Amino acid sequence: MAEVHVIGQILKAVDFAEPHLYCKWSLQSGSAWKLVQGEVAGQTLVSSNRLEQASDFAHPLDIHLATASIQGWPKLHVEVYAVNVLHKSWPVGYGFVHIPSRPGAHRLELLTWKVAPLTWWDSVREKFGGGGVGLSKADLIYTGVERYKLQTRSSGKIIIDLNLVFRNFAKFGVEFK
Amino acid sequence: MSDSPTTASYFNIFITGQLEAMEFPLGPNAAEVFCRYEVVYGPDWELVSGVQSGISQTASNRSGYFKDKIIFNFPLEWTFKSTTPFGWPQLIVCIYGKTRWGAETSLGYSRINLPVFGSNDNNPIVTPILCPQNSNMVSELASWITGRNPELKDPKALLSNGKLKGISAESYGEVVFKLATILRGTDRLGYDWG
Repeated sequence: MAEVHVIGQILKAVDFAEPHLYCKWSLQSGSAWKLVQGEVAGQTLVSSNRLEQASDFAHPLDIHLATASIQGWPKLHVEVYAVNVLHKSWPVGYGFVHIPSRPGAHRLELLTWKVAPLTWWDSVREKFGGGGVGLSKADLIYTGVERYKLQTRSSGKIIIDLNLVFRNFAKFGVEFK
Repeated sequence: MSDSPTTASYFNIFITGQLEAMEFPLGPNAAEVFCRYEVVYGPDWELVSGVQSGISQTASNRSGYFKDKIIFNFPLEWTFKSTTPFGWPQLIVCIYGKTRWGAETSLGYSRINLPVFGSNDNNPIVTPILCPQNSNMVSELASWITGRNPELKDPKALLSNGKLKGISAESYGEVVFKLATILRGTDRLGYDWG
């Protein structure tokens, strides 16, 4: 089996309207992929920046995967949540990004979207930091099948650093060129 | 994996570099700053040479402009031995400040992965400083009276996925590292470092 090491961090979220943010993340991959060591889901701390419209997380990622197939190449799925003074949280950004297909150090910029408010009341509530609408099915984020049902708005950007080390792909004739 | 003939073997990494400076855009909330660092790594790793934890000098930019970098130029050198990149070493830096009246308080925490591919002069490793926030009004008041910021009981929680839930932090300032990596024996184990 060929192996993939993903070592890196969710560095920060920028350009979101809300100041206090946290991320939930998970790694999604096909059925031929097996987790050897590490965790494939997690949650960052709630963060804000004293001066800028940004939230720094510096949240570590360390994942060791083994695979028998290139199909189902792993992708990182991230949901950004805002927290208000009443400790209520609601989603403000969804996104996914494929793990780069080259070994090396990569800085990824993940542009996110959120669900458009359905009613006038939802949009008022969102504007004043009282909550927003979210998805009930997370797989809408990283599969394209049912996306046509959604109406979305653009949201902020997440910056992710990944270092990728591959092993034994050459032995199976897989070339990264 | 089991089909690899070299599972019993290991590779080495050599990390050299420095904690160059800290930057606080509106100046640090203390007259003097120092930090304690600790390197944390996975179960398959072994520290061959270098120190696992240490303390920097007490530095200040008081002689200059408040926005100036606080230069540490603190040397960092390690050699590790491992059988797998999993558990790649990370560095936690706990930053403390001394106020003009001698009170010591936490200014926050930073963490980095030691570079897998090295960093160079044009791309230093810049990492935010996270300051934990008080979770309730009582501790906020206590913190205001004593002049001490909240601290993490175990800074290693910053490296975990589960223990961070509910912790709230504010970032202020950055730490700048310049680190280089040298590898030995990874090709032999079938690793593709790109």
